[in-house]
Amino acid sequence: MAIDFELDDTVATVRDFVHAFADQTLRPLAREADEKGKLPAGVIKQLGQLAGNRATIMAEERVQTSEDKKPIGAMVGVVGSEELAWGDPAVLLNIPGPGLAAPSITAAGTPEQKKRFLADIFNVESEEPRFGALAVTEPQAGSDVSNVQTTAVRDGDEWVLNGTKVYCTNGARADIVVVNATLDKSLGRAGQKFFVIEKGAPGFKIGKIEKKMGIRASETAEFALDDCRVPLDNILGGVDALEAAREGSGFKGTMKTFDSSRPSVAAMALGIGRAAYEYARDWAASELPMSSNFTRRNAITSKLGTMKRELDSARGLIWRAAWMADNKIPNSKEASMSKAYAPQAALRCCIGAIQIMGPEGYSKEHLVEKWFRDIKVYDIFEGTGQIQRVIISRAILGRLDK
Amino acid sequence: MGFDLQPTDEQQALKQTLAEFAAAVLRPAARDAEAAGRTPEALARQIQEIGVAAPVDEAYGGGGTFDAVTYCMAAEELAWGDPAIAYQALGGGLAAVVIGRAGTDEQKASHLPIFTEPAPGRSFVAVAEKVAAGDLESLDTTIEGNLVAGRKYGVLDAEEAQVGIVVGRSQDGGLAAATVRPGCYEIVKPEDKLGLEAAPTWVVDFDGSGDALRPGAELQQALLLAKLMTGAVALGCARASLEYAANYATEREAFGKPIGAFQGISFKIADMAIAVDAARAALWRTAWHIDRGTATLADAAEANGQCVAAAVLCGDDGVQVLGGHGFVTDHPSEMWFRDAVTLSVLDSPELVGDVMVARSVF
Repeated sequence: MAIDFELDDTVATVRDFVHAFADQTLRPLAREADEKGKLPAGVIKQLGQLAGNRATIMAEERVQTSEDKKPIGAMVGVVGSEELAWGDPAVLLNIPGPGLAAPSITAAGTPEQKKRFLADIFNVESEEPRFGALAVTEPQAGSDVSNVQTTAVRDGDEWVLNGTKVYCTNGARADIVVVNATLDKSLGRAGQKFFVIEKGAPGFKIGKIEKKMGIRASETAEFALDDCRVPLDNILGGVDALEAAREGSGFKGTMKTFDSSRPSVAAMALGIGRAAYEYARDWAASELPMSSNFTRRNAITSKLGTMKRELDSARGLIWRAAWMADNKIPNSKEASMSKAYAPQAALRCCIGAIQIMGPEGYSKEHLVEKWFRDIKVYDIFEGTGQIQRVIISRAILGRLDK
Repeated sequence: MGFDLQPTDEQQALKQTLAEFAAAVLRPAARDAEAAGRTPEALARQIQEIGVAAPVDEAYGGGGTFDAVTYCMAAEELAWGDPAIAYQALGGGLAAVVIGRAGTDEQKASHLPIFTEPAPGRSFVAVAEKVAAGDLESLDTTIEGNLVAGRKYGVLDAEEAQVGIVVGRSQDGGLAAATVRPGCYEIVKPEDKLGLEAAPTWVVDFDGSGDALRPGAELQQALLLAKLMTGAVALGCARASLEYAANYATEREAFGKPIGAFQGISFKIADMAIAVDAARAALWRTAWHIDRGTATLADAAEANGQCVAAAVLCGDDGVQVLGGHGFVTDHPSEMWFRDAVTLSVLDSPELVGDVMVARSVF
């Protein structure tokens, strides 16, 4: 063990492969998908076939160890996520696969549940694209997960779920949706558990599809659970989890999910910021020859340097969080640091790129205005920047507000 | 092989030793050294004994040298104790680092013994100029053959230095450096400055014959490491401010709670911690490149820019979290803020570092 900044060969190979896919397949789809708010069904099918219909961030499926047997699953996840989002962040969310259902099932599910909900559904050659989704947010409960009002009540061999979930990526078309619901409101967040709802479950009612500032090609759905019935075995962790919930370990499952997904989401933000930075850099190099306006040229030069420095810093934080995850070092604080920093740095890049390019920056003839619209949500979903700072400062200061 | 952030056992042990020394010895000595405008001789000898400030190869009578990553780790720990004392110690040994890495056998034999005495050798690496502070590509000082000509600022210990290195441009415009001994330069004036007061610096006119260091990759990497020392000191300064403020935030109460319970304070702590960790990653990455001989000026500019940005942010908020207590000299926070801004003259991200980064891509 020693300090080493060179990517493992396997990781580098994955990065190069994914980059080519992002460049040749995702980026060309970006503008039209944004305008139409979705991708043509045929294209989604193709994406599914290209990606093996398994998803990029499916823990069971991705490359787990390097040639010399070092664990690299999380590194592959963040390096791949950066490249995919560089291609296009909204098209990326249309690549079939379990999405954020995967980390929650991986973290909280029993071996049988991992097989049933991940391997059996996603690890198959399928003609039709398959999606998974995670639904936590409710109209009245965003960052404050403990305020989730969706309830789960046992009725014989089934769970009966009632409540409303919003802002769920791929929620309307998903084959499985993982939701958190409370078994006992008096226990607060300790009384919450995850449940898997399969497509076609009775009482699962799709509501509106959101119109958004950015990632418009990604499906953001609202749904109601109206006496929605799922089998008893669909509680993640199994029925035994009931007892665990009484002992107060229910909420930790939620947080563990985020510890593994936050660096990947931060990496996506980084990919968007890098796309904007590179685009503006290349634009400036070709449009602003040495003879052009001295003041503006110097201002642009300095700004590009700042953009690159901040993006590289974000990558340092992201890779550290992923490296810790691969080496089984608790990384809750570091995962939050990457998620707190990367989206804001990338947002500054996107705004900077628009300003550098001037009227061509806000024009829809180029993608930078779209990346600006896309990046904003990265400081909101998967835990807002503010929630990340709550986690980080509590890790440093301890809990002072009791 | 493969991305890894785990220091070796030796590095861990060295960090631990230096952290204890910094807490027990440097931190309590800081204000007196500041008032005196220099590190007391006895303390300077103590630091010299540790062997990290002026590392010299065994072949030249020293205690051994360090790779760049380890050197940066050591510098951060010393600077955490006190940035100014660390800057004087490390800056005073910097010529040993550069000559050890880029000097000829003759140059090593001639200069390195200065740094193996019990009393620390005094030396400088003169880079900063009136306009181009820290920008290695825009220096006006000329080094033609062995002839050195130009005015330098921030020249450490110029009055006592036994040897120095001047960095400038060669006839063909390339990066050049030469060793100089007293006699080929004239001291213009001491600098009475905002921060880093325990590290005395001078304005110096160079106009005479030195001994040019061989231009090339070794010299460039050595000068980049010399540059990185500033970043490592800034990083230690940043972490000192952060940790002091975090500790204060858990103890000081307002409205019936520790002030760290309020997000106006706790979010500042979080952002300071992010800045420090991001800076360390950038610093280690560049140091790692230096160890492989692949570092570029842009890498070093980026690392130093991030470290200085962290130091200034943490310096500012480090004072702010303490409020009035931060502004008065009963606490070290205001001193670290002044140190940070002083360091930022050498590698201001916006004015120096980022411009150098952009030049490499644009």
